[in-house]
Amino acid sequence: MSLRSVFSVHSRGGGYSEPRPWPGPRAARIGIPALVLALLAVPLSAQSGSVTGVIINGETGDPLANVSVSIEGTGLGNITNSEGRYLILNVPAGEQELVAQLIGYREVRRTLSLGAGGAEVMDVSMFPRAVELEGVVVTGTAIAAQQREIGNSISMVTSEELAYAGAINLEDALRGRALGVSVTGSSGTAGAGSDILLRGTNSVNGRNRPLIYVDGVRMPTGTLEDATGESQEHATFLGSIREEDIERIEIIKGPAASSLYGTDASAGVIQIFTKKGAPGAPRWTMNVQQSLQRIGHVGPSIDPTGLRVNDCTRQFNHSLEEGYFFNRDEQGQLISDPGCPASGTWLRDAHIQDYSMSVRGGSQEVTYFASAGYGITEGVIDPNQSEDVNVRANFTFSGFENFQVNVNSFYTRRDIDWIPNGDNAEGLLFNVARGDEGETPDNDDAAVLDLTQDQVVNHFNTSANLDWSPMDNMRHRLTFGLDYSNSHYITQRPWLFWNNPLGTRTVDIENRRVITLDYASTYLHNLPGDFTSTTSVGAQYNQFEHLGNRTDVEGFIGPGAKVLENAEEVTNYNEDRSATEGGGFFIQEQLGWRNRLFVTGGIRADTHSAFGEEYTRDVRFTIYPKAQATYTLSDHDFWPRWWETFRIRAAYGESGEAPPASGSVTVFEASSLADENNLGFIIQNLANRALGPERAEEYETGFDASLFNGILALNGTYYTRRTYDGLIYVAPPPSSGVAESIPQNVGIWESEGYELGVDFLVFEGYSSRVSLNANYQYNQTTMVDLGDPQFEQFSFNYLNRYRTGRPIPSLYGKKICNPDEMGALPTYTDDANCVLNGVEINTHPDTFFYAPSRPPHEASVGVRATLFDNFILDVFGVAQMGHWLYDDMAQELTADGLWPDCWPINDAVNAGVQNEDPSLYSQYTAKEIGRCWDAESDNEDWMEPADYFRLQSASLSYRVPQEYLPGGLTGATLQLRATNLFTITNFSGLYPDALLRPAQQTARGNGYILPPARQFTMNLRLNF
Amino acid sequence: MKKTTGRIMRTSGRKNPILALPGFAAVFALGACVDTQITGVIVEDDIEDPNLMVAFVRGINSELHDNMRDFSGVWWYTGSATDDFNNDGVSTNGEEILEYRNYSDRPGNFPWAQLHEAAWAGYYGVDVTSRVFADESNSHPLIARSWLISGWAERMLGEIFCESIYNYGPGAGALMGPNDHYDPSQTVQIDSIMRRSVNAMQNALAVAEGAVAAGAATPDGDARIFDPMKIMHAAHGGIAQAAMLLGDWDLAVSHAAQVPADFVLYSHADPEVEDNGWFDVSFQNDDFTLWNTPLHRVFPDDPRAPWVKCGDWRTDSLRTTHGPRGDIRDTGRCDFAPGYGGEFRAESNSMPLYSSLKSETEGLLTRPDGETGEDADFPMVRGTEMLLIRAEKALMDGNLAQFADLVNQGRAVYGMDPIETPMTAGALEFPNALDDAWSILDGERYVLMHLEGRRFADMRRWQHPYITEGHFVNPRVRAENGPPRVAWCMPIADIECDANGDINCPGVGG
Repeated sequence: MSLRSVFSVHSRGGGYSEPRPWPGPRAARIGIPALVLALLAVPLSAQSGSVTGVIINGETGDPLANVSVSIEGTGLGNITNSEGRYLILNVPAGEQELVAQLIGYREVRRTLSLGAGGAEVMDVSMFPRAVELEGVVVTGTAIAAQQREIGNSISMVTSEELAYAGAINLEDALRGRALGVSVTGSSGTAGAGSDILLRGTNSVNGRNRPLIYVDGVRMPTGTLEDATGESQEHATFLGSIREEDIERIEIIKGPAASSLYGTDASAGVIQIFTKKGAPGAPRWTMNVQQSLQRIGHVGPSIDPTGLRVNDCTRQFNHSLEEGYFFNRDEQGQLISDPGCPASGTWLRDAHIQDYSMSVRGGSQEVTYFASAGYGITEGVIDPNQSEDVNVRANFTFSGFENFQVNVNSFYTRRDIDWIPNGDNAEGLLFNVARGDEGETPDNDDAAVLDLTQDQVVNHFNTSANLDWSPMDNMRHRLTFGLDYSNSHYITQRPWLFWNNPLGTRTVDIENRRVITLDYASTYLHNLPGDFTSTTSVGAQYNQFEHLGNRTDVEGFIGPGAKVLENAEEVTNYNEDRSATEGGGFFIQEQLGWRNRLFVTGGIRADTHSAFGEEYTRDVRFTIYPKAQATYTLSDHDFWPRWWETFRIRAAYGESGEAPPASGSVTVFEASSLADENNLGFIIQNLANRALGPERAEEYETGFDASLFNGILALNGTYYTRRTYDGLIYVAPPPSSGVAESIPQNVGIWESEGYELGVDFLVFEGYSSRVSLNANYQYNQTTMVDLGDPQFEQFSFNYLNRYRTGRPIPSLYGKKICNPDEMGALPTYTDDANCVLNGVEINTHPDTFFYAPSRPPHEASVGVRATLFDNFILDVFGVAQMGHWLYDDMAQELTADGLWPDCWPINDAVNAGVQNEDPSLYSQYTAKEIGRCWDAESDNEDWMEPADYFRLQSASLSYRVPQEYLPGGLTGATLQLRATNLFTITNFSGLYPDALLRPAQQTARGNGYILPPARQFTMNLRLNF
Repeated sequence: MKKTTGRIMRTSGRKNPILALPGFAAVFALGACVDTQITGVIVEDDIEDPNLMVAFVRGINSELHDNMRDFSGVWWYTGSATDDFNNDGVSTNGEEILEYRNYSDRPGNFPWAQLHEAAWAGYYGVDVTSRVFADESNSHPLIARSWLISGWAERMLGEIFCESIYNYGPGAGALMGPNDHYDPSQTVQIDSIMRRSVNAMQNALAVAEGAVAAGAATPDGDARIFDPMKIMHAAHGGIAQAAMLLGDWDLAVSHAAQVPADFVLYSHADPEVEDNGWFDVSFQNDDFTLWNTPLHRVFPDDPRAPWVKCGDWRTDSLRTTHGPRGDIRDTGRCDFAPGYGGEFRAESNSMPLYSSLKSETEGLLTRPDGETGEDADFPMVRGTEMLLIRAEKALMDGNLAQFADLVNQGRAVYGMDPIETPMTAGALEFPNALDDAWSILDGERYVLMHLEGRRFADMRRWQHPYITEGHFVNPRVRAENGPPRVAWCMPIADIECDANGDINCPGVGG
C-alpha cells in the first residue's frame, strides 16, 4: 500500500492532504480479481451460493469502505463499497471461512455454513488495531508518510475516542487519551478552557504550548484574551473546534519530531483533521445532546453548608465552648446569608443542550462535508453560560487529472457570560466563603454578580490545499490558510456598584490573524538493490498579526446606556499592534530498505522577524537538523508469527521557540508625560539585537509491538530534551545603564521522560469484546542554568520558583522544624531557634524545595466493552501524581479563622496561648497547629500533594439494530454518559485540578475556582 | 497476513521531473522573501528624524527626572540618611536614621539604577542627536542638553555612592549600548565618576558655546531646557559642582564665576503623573517630618526652604488612644489636610506635622514659571550655589570678607538680609551654633539645597561632626563581620551585587 497511498491524490474521501488509504496489496491481490469475477459471474454451479453483508466499524457503527472480504482458500472475494456492503457470488456450498481485512483494523474471520444456492448474510464488525504501521500520518513529515517510515512517536486521537470522552472542552478530551499530552486545569465554569503541554515544561518565558494546526492551517495557541478578567479563567482558541467535526488529531511531542516546523515548534505540534466528504448519496448525521451538570459538596466535608456555597440558608459556625453550631437570630431561627438566592444555594443544576447536523457525500469529482452546531452550556452558577454556534464546510475537488483541491472552512461564534471569581475581592467564592467577613457591603454577596463580564468570540478559519501528483512518484502540496479571531470582552461595574459606585466599563478587543503558506514536494525513486530514496523539500511562511485595543473608563452618572463615551473619565487605554512573520525551508532525504528500514535526515532553515538584527545578520538562517531511523524487525521471516509487529525507532531533532516580538528592537513610547505636557519619546524597552530563538534538541527512542493478532499491543518511548539559548528576562547590572530586563538567550534546562501505552484485548467473541487501554507517562524538566545568579530567586505567584538543579516550576518555602512535636507551637526554618533534622538552621524562606508544581506522573486507564454488537460500555479514568499545589483559598480562610476544618485547633491554641496553658492544645502536633492556627498559618502550611484520580467518563451506548430502524434512518445510537463521577484525592482544597488562571504557565495555584461538575448526558445520534 | 516486503514503485515515463522545478523555485523564493519587521510600535528607525529629536531629547530628559520623584528618589534616600528630614511612619527616630538602622542591608537600589540609566540615556541621546545632526555636531542645543543629562547623573552618582562600576559612554571609548563593550568587573572610584561628569559638562559647554556663537535657535522655542545660553550657564555650573567635589577648586571657582547669581535650571517633571515626592510625603502620607531637623530648629522663616506646622497634637478630651488620626487637630495652615502619619508620631508623642512647603511656595526659584504643588521641578544648578562654592574657596583661603560678600550676594537674590562678616573661620557647629564662617556656610548650603539630594556629599567631604558619632555605619558590614566601617556614602546597591557576578560586594545579605 505504501507508495500509492502516500503519492496518489485520486483516492476519495481523504484528509486535506492525505487521501484515504487504498486497499493494501493483499486487498489488491484478492479483491480486484474477485470483483471482476463477481461482475462477470453467472452461477457456475448449482452447488454454490452467495455471501453478502455489511462491514462496519465496531466502535462507531459507521460502514467501512474498501474492506477486502474473501472466502478463505477459494480465491473469491470482493471489496466493500462506500456503504460497507459486499457481495461474493459462486461461493461453494458448505462450511466456509470468511476473512475481512482492512489496513488499520484487526483481521476478522467468520465461519459460515452455506447451503447450495443459498444466500448467506454475514455482517461483520471490525475494530481498529492499536499498532498500525501502514497508517498514513502527516504531521512532522514532509507531506505524508506511513508510520513505519517515521522514527519518532506520534500520538493519535480518533473521532471515536472523542465521542466517548465526554470532556468539558477539547483540551480536556485529550487528557489521558494521547501519550505525551498533559492537560491541566478543569473547572465548573462554562466557557473555560484548559492548558495543554506536550512532554511537560518546554519553556520558561516562551509560549510553552504546542503549535495548533487545523487542516494544515496554523491557529493561535492559548487564550483568546490577554487579561483574564475578574473570572480568572480563560477561553481558549481550541474551544472553537467542534469535537463532532474532528476526524482525527495527530500529536508530535517535541523537537525530535517537529524539526520541519522550525521555529515555534519546540513545544510540539497538534494537528487537527476535520471530517471530509465521501462519494455517494448524502449521509446525514444529527446529534442531540442534553446534559445536566451538578456540582457536589464544596470545601471541607465537615461543613454541611459547603462554605455557604451549597447551602446559604444557614451559617455554619463554631466556638470553643459550643463546638459546631448554626447561627441563629434572637428568635432562634436559622440565619440566612444576605443575598442568598431564593433556591437556598448559589449552585444550580445546570443544563447543557447541544444540537448539530452534518452531511457528507458527493460525486467522484466533488465531495463535501458540512456541519452546523448550536449549543448552550450553563455554568453551575447563574448567570455563567456559554452559547456556541459553529458552521463548517469542507469540499474536495478531484475532477482533474492528478490534481486534488481541498477547501475547508469553519466559523464559530461563542458568547460567554463569566462570573467574577478566583482570588479576587470581587469574586463570588471569595465573598461567599468568607461569610460576613467578605468584602461585599452588609455581606450581600449577590452584589458581586452585578459585575458582568461578557465575552463574544468570532473565529473564522479557512484553508485551500492543492495536491498535485505529476508523476506516480512525485507529489506537490500547497496549502494556503487564514485564521482570524476576534474577542470582544466587556467588563461592566454598573452605576452604584458596591465596589465602585460611579461604575466602570472595560472593553478589551483582541483581533488575531494568522496566515499560513505551506509548500512541500516529495520525489521517490528506486535505488539499486532493495533501496528506495525519498527526497523532500518544502517552504513555509507564517504571519501573525495582533491588534489589541483595551479601554477602561469610570464614572457613569446615573443609570442608562453604558458605552465608553458616556463615562466621565478614561482611566486606562492601550492599543497593541504587532505583526510577526517567520518562515523557512527544509530539505529531507529518506532512504528505505525493503520497506523495513528507514533512515531519514533533514535540515530546516528558518528565519523570524522577532530575531535580532545582529542575530539575523550573523546567522542568516537558523538551522534545525533532524535524523531518524526505524526498523520493522517483524517483517523478517525469522520473526515469530505470533508476534506480528515489532518496530524499533529512534529520532533526533531540533526546533525552536521564537523570542518575544519586541525583544530585539528598542521601543519608544510617545508620551506627553515626559516633560510637562510636551511630546516626548520614552524608552519602553531596549533591544537585544543578538536575540535569537530558544532552541531545543531532543533524542527519543522507542518501540511499537503487537502480539497475538493484536490482542496485546505495546508502545514505549524514552526521550531526553535539552533546551539551550533559553529565553530569560535578564536584568542587566544597573551599572550597564539599563534598568529594564532584556530577553537574552542564556537559559539551559533539560527534560526527560518516558511514555508507555498498553492495549489489551481481554475478550473477543462473535458479538462481544472487552478491551483495556492504559497509558502512563513521566515528564520532568530540570533547570540547569538560568544564566545569572540573580535568577536563583526567579519566582512567581503561589510560591512557584525556578531554581537550578530543580524541576520547573517547583514550590519553595520555609519548612516547619518540629512538625511532629505534640502540643508545641511551630518553629520555622527562618526562625532563630529552628533545629531541623538535628541541625540548627536559619535561612531565607525561599530556600527549601518542596515539590514540582506540575505533575510529573500521569496515567490513564480505560475499559471498553462491546456487548451483543450493539451495546458499548466505555469507562475512562485519569490520574496526575507527584506534584504539589498551594491551596490559596484554604490558607487565606484559615488565616481569617474561617476554614471549618481548622476551627477546633485554632480555638484550642488561641485559648492555650491566652491562658498560657499549652495543655489546651497538647493533642495537636506542631504541624497541625502551624497549619490551622490563624496567627501562624502561612502559605507553606498549605502546600500539599495534589495527586488525584478522576473517573473522567463512563458511558453506555446502544446502537439500534438496522432491523429496528424506521424508514429513512441508516443508523441510530443512544448514549448515556456520566462525566466526572468521582475524584480520589487527599488534597484539601476545592479540587486539585481547578487552577487559578489555568493557562498561566509560570505560577500554578489552586483556590476559589469551582471544581468540574458531574455531567449526566443523554446523546442521540441519527444517521440517515 | 504479515510481512509487507519491499516498496512497490512504478515510475511513469509520461511526465518529466522538470515539472518539479516550480516547486523548488517556490521553496527558495519563499525562503528569501521572509524579512524582519515589526509594526505597531515606535522603534529607533522611526525616531531618528531631525523633526523628532526635540521629543526624543525630552524623553531622555525624563530619565533624569526619574531620579527625583517620589519616595524612592535620590532626595529621599539622601534626606533620610542625613538631617534633611526625620523619617516618619517607620517607627524610627532621627538617630536611628543617621545610623542607618532604619535601612535594610540593601539600600540604594532605586537611585543606583535610575542614575545609571539617566547617565546611559544622556550618552545615548548624544549618540543619536550627533548622528542625526551630523552637520551641527558642535553647535546643536539638543546635543548639548544630552551631555548635560549625563553630566548631572554622574555627578549625583558621585555625591551619593562610595564607589561606582561602569564603563560606558564617551569616557570609555565607544558609546555603551546594552550589549556593547561592557566590562562589569571594572570598578572606578568616585573621583573617576566626577571626572566623567566634568568631561560631560565640558562637552555640553563646548557645544552650547558653539550654538550661541552660531546663533542657533532654541529648539521648539522651549527656553526652559533648550536655550543654548541656559545650557551654557548650566554646563559652567555643572563643571563647578563636580570640580568642587574633586577638590579642584581652581576649576570649580573659575566656572562658578561664569554663572549669573539668579540663574537656575531644572529637571522637569510631568505635571500629571510623576508626583513630586515632596508633596506626597509631606501632605499625603506624612511619611516624613521636619520636626527637630536643623531646618525646624534654625531656619523658621527662611524663604529658601519654607515649611509649615500642619497639625497639633490634641490635648483636649477628644484625644483618643486609637491611632493618631483622631489625635491630630488641623492647624488650618496647610492647603492640604494632613495624612495619618505613622507610628513614630504616636510613639514619640511629638508634634511631627512639620511639612515642607518647598513645592508650594512661588517665586523662590525652587521651580520655574510659578509651578507649584505636585509637579514642582527640581533645581539642578543655581547661581546662588555657585556663589557658595566661591565663598567656600574664599573661606579656605582665609578671606572672610570675601566669604561674607559672596554669601550675601546669594541671600540678596532671595531678598534676605545680609550676614555680618564672621570673626573666625571656626569649625562645623551647625545647627548648634552659627557664629563662625564654617557653620554659616554649612547652614547656607543646607537650607539652599534642602531636600534636593545634595546634603550627603557635603557631610562626607567635611566628615561632618554633627552626624551621630561622626560616621554612618555601612549596613553591609555587619557587626559579626568586623567593626563598623566609616561610610560617608552609600555602598554599591544590592541589585548591582546580585546582577553583576564579576564584583565582590562584602557583607551582602550578611
